Amino acid sequence: MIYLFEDRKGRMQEYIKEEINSSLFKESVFDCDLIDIDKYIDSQFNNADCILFHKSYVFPQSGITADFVKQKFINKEIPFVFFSGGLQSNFYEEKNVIAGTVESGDMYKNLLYFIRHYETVNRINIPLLLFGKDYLLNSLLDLQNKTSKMFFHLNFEHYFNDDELDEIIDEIDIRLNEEEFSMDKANLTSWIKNSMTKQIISVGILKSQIQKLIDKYYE
Amino acid sequence: MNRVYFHQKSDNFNNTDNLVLELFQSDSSYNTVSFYKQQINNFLPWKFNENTIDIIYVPVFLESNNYLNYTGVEFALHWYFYLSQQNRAFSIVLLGVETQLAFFKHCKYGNFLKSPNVHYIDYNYSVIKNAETKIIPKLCTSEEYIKAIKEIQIKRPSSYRTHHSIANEWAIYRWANAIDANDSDIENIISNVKQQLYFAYLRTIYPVSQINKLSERQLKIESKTKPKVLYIDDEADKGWYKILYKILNDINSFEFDYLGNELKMKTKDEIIEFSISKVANMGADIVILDFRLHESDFDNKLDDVTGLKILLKIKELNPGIQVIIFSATNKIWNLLELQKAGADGFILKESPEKSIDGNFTQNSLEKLITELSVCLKMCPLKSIYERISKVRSNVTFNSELEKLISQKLETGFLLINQSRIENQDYYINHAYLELFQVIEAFLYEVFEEDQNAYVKLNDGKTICVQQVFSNKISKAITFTRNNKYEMYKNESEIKNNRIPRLDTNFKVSSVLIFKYGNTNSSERKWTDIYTLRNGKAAHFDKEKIEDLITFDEIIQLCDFLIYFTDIKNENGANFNKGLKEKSLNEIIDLAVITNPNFKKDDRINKK
Repeated sequence: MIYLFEDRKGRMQEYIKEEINSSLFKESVFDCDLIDIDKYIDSQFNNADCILFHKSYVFPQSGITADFVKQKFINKEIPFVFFSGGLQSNFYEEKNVIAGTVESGDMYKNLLYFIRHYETVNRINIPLLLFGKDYLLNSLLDLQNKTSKMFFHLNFEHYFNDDELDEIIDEIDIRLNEEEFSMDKANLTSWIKNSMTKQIISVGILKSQIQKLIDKYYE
Repeated sequence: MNRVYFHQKSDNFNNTDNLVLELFQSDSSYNTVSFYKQQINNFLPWKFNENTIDIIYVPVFLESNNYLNYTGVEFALHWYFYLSQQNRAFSIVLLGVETQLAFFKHCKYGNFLKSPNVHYIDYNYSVIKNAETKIIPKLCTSEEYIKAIKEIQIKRPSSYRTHHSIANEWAIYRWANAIDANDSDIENIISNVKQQLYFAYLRTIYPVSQINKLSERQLKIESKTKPKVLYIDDEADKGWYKILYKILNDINSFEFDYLGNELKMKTKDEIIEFSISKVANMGADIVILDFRLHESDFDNKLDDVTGLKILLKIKELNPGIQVIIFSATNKIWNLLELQKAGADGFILKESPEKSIDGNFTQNSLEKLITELSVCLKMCPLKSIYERISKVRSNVTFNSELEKLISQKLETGFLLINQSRIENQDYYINHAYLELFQVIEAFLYEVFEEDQNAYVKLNDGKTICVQQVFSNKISKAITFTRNNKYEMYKNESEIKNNRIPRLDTNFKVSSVLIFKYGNTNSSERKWTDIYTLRNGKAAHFDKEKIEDLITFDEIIQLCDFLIYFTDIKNENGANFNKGLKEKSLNEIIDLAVITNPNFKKDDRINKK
């Protein structure tokens, strides 16, 4: 279940004109005393798969802060996203749990895709909530950036040796995790593997292959 | 050539990062500046304080978790905006991993590439080294830069839904600076205005002036009273509260309260109800009111805007409560509608484009002080209205009279309100005359005259206060040397066969004494009021300030009206002290004695 904690009345309606009909999404309030917080989370949100929480949430009870609530959910290994005006989209891992921040408008813009994706594949896709349909581009740019840093000191005409190609395969494996890439990832990896010992892939050639992949998704 | 390479270190500083950094650090052609993500704001131009940079190198992907943000580009834009105003040659080199075309398509600031002195090259050491000789900073005019910067199309962040919220923060930044107001909320705004790319963009395309500081003396409002001021603005807690608190409470010792964040949780109707109840409970004399208080106000038509609805409700509660509209709106139709609804003043929140005018901030603050001074001067209107309402409620027993008196009261109030306008201050004298006419109108209810005159009592009986017989007039009260009527009877001859008209003073005095049981006519300062009416209220010189009626004098008149029109004040103390009316026979006998030609047979005719 995805839980949304929004205390700005009407803001959601400002962004989303249609009502969200999903058995996997609930709007909720956070209303308990500090002392009961663990029990409260366990009893009320034991089926939570992801928490979307307003960073400036006004708690009826004193002593509770949004950061404190976040820690409680993260400790229970539940992905947690803060939204608020002025926040930038960012995601990271905290204690091996995926967390993120997103600007309110962006979150509401992407919320429906996020819920539909969750309904379809039963997987919480935080990048989709943060970046919308461009979340795949972010992964591709990640790969492009990481590999470019690796070759920063090398000329474009430099041909990779096998160790370097192994490192590149590792990076591809880490960066391209989305199911949508499975076919292209396999093709790219096998192309590199097949080139081993031949020294036929240069910095320039690899750069252009990755750029082609990006262009394929974002032409 | 001073070349600076900005490098953002990853949180888990790894070998790849280290390699890049070491390469630049070992190259004497570059000054390398590295920082962690959390420190990035310290390296923005306004904090970094470096004026000798010729060429800046920035990787476009500073953000390691969100490449789509292109935070390196935002960082570079900050520097570009800053350097474009320094009147010296410089270059910005964006170091990217995509092709230039892909970058242009993916980055929302793609047009940055078209700006003068901006270059995009591959993030590769040998490429950067090869480009060194080709990148030569050129001198451009500020007009060229501004034209190009506008083309970049920096969008307002989506957290600022409208230009209104931008103007709001901008104005806090300017005003807080001008009056040296400070607290943590204001600090947040100031750092936001300095750090946010959009504000940096606005500061660049609208080269804003330095802020002139205002002294406490300039913010002082002359006042004998300490009014209660309520400020209603959903953005109050952003820093406005502190700014207004400093001006109104710290400097001027006014009682000051506000509604801010608590409005954000409410629906539009709740905001209106909550605000009005606060105005009433606090007994606010002056309300400083934001125009748009609810998110829907940005889409609604003017009639539905929350600020306008609150204004109407306040004026319904008491039109004497002074309302100053404090808003970023400068649309003339909004202002006209608000004026029509009774707004007593307007203060515009300063938006960046207005700050080009070097005196705008100072002028706005001075305007606030002027508007507050005028409202302060007009504050007695509130208690005048309360008194007028009381008079109106006193006269509900006679619908014709009620209508007439209501008209007089309304016109009187309007004239007082109009006297706020420069060169119309003498309207207050007209108001006095109009309100005085309420007394004269009310006399129809409590005084009756033909030749004789009577004070009318609530039970329908009368007390005779003037009787005419033969060539004599008897009166129940006499104007004494004490300048008031007292209960001394007097008799005088009728001259030239003309019975003198009774003046208002005699009639009112008779009512005061015989109906309301007073010993003389000076009750509730009636003598002063009458003298004032016939003196400076009616005969004034517009140019002489001492000829103008004061609010205290209006209040004195209103207090008299409340007393005079309240027939429940009737008091039997002097019911039996009027003239003993002569019977018809007594009058005829007297006529025969005093007039030898009078025939007793004429009795019936004379009757």
